[in-house]
Amino acid sequence: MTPISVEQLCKTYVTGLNARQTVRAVDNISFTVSDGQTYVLVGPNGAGKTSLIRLLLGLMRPDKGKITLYGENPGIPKARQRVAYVPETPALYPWASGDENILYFGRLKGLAAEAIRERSNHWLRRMHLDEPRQKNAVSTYSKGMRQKLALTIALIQNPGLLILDEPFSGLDPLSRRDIIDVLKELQGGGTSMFICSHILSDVQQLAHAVHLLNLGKTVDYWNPTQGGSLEDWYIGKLRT
Amino acid sequence: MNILSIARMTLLEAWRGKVLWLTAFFAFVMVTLTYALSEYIHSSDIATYYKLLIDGGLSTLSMGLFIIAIFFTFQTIINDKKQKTLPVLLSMPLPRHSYVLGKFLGIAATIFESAILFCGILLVTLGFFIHHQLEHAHGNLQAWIPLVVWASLAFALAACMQAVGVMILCFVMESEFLILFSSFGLWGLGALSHDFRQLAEDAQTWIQPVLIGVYHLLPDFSTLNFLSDTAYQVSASSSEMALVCLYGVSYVLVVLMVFLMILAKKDIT
Repeated sequence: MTPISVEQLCKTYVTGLNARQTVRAVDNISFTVSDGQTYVLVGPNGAGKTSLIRLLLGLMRPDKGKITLYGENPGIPKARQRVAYVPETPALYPWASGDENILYFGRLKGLAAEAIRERSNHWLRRMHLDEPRQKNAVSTYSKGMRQKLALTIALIQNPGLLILDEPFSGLDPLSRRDIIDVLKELQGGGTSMFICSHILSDVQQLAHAVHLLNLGKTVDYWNPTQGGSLEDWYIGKLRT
Repeated sequence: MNILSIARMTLLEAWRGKVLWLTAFFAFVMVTLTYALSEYIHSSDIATYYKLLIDGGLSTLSMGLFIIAIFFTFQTIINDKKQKTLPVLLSMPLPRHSYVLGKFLGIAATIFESAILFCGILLVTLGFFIHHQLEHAHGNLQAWIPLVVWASLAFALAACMQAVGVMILCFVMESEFLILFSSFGLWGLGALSHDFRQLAEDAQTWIQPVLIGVYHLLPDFSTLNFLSDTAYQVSASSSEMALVCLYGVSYVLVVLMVFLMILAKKDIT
C-alpha cells in the first residue's frame, strides 16, 4: 500500500471579516510517496508546505482533490496508525520531564511502558542524548535536545511513514549530523519519509525525490540522478 | 484509555503549574477575612458571625473555583496550541473527541480537587473559631459539615460548566484577550441568566421567547448557588440535590456534544 497518495489537492484559506479575502495555500498538487522513499518538499516561506502537512495529517480538510495514507482517508484515526509527525517547533510539554513526555505520547500510541522504555533508550543513545537529563523538565533543554527528544517520541512508535517539518532548523552541526545519521538508518530500514526543509545541503543527502513548491503550486521536481547541487537548482528555478 | 491518559497529563499540568497555589491564595484570603471578622464582630451577635463566616468563606471558594476554571482551562488549551502538542496529538490515531473529553476530565478533576482542598480549609477555619475563639457559643461544627461540603461541590459543578464554555471559546476565537474577556463575560451572564428567565416570565412581548432562548443557552449558575441556604443552615432536600446535579451534568454533556460536532469539522491550524 502506498504511504502517501495526493491527487489534485486544493486548499483555500478565507480571511477577513467582511472582505472575505481568499488565499490559495495549496493549488492542484499531486504526488505519490512510495514505500521506503524519502520525499522532500522545498520552497520559500509561504509556499504552502505546512498547509500540505496539515492536510496530510487530517488536521484540515481539502477543498478539492484526494489524499490517502496507506489507502485510507487521513481524517480517520486508523489511517494515521503507521504515521508519526515531528513539527518544526518540537511539540513537548515544557513542565514535564523528557521521560514523562516520551511515556505520555507512547501510551497514546497504545504502547506498553516496557516497550516505550526499551525503544526510547535505544534512540536516545543513538542520538547522544544523555540519560540523566531525561529526569529534568524539558524547559531546561536546548533546542537541539528538544528536537532529538521529539524525534525519539516519533521513532518509538516504529512508524512506517515519518513526516518531518523543518527537522534541521536552528540546530548546531553536531545535532544535525546526529539527526541525519538516524534518518539514514531509518532509510536503510525501509521507513518512508516526507520532509519539509529549507536546509538544502542536508536534505540532498537524504532525498530520493524533491518537489519544489511556490505560492501553493508545483514549480518542478528534482531527482538525485540529475546530479549537481540541489541549492543551485532551487535558486535557478525560483529566479526564473 | 487514551482519555484517561490525557486527563492524567492535564491534572499533572495543574500540579506542576501550581494551580493549587491559587487555591491556597484564595484560602489565605478567606482565613484572613475570617480573622478580621472575628476581631470586628462581638460574640453577642453570634448568629450573624456564623452567617458572615460561611458567606465569606463560600463566596471566596466560589470565586477561586471560577478563576481556576477560566485561567487553567485557557492555559492548558492555549498551551497545547502554542506548543504544537495539539496537532501532534491529533495526528496520532486518536479521535478528536478523546482529546476533548480527556482535557475536560483533567480540568474537572483539577476543579474538584481544589474544591475539596478549599472546603477542607474552610471547615478547619470554622472549627478553629468555633472551638477556640467562641467556646461559650457552643457552636456545633458537625451541623455545618454536610452543608458546606454540598455547597462547595455544587460550586465545583458550576465551575465545570464554566470550563466547558472556556474550552469552546479557546477553539472558536483566535485572540487570547477576546477569549479571556468572553470567559469572564460568560461568568457574569451565567450569574445573571436566572434574571433573564424572571424577566421573560414578566414580559408579554416578542422579547419573551428571545429571553427564554437566551436563558436555555447560558449556564444558570444561580441554580447551583447554595450560599444563602448554607449560611441560614437550610439543607437542600435529596430530590433538589439530585435535580441540581442532573442539571449541571446534562448541561456539560449537551454542550460538550455540540462542541464535538463542531470540532469534528473544524480545521486545526
